[in-house]
Amino acid sequence: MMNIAIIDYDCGNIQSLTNAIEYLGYEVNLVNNPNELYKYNKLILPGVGSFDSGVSSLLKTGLFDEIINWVENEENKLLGICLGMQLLCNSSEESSKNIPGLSLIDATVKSLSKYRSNNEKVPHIGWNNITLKKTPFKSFIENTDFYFVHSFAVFVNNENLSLAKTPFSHIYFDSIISNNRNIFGMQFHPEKSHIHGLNLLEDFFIHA
Amino acid sequence: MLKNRLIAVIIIRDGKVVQSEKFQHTNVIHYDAYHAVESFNRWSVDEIILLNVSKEKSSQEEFLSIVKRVSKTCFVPLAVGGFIDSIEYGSRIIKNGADKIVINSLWFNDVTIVRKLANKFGSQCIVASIDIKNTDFGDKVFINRGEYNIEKELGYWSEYCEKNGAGEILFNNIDYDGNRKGYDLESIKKITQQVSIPVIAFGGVFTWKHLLEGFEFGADAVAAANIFHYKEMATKQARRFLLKNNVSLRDI
Repeated sequence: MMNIAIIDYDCGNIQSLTNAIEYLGYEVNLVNNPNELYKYNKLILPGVGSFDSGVSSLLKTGLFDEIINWVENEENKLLGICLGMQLLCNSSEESSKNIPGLSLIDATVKSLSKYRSNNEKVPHIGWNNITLKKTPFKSFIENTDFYFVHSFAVFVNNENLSLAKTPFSHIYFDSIISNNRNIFGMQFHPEKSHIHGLNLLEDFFIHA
Repeated sequence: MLKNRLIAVIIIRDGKVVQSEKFQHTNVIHYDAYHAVESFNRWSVDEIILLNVSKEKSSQEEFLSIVKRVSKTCFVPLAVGGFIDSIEYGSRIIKNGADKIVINSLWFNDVTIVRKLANKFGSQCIVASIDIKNTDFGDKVFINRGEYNIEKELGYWSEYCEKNGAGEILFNNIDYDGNRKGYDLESIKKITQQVSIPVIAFGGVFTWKHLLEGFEFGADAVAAANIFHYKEMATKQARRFLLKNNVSLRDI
């Protein structure tokens, strides 16, 4: 039995995600009470805004520790999207006080600005391709474009944690990461990446 | 690599999709914004911008319900603007399904609110809409749907918006709007040299070549409104033309 919820911690565009999941034909709930996470076995951590505001909202609601407890059961699958993905990491250069993230995946969030070499714009806004390294997602087509909108990007500390990469300027950042068990992060917005994005989202529900 | 974007703009007055000509909005095109969004979503446009150009602020609530309804079947990014005058209303636009908010007059009326919205949702969520018009003293920035001259230069104002939280700029020249002669290319070139955030060209497109010119003069994304409503599959035709002319667009 699949029980899907979006973690609602006042940090993001939840409606877009809800629309996409309902369009795929699944029922989805919002959860903001840490004591109710156990009711679900698929959780999505969305997010727009800054790393610090994300962490502090998770701490304030008590979700921070409960998410960490919840993923200890590997039957439970967690997907972080955009800022939600970055919050899975150890730390972010965006943080003014260098506060730690959920530290569920050994990765660091860095500013894209310092990698600009020519005319690259930051924020990195628009459709960019992802190059697949390995994937549990069946529908995935090599070099498909997805919709990105972010100024900071994830870099794994262990290549084994990277499922896909995306080019920016002269470098590649990690656009899909996973602990290779039950935790996933996507930098792009599958819910806003048209058909390919919707397929990928469905794959997470079915195959992850 | 990052692809160029083709954006459809849907202009709404009192709940109806209208045509825009020098910011006059008299012709009703679609009666229902929902059908317009559905078509553009199906025809593989890269992004949709929905603007409320009603004369009255009282249109806020009806517009919000349109945003909520169209976002249900919009699986490309949706940027929404018009009468965003408070943190509360900006937040409600996002809560109702917008991915970005488009802000024009508020940069002038109360920039602290814009900065707070940028802090709350991130700069990538804030699109600065900048309209210019020719006056006796050269081109100046106008607000309030082109009614009020704030007597600022385009270059200065673009930088000001970038410094105060804009993640993108949507540029339009009111004299070119709906004029079928293409974008104000010199101004587009000027802004892209001035700021480091993406610039969306808007206003005046009548042929697919006009879209191409926008890219040639440095725009990161090209937008059009009226022309996409005239023909079936218009955005698909535009995309094919651009691809043939070596513009890199996303795979569909």
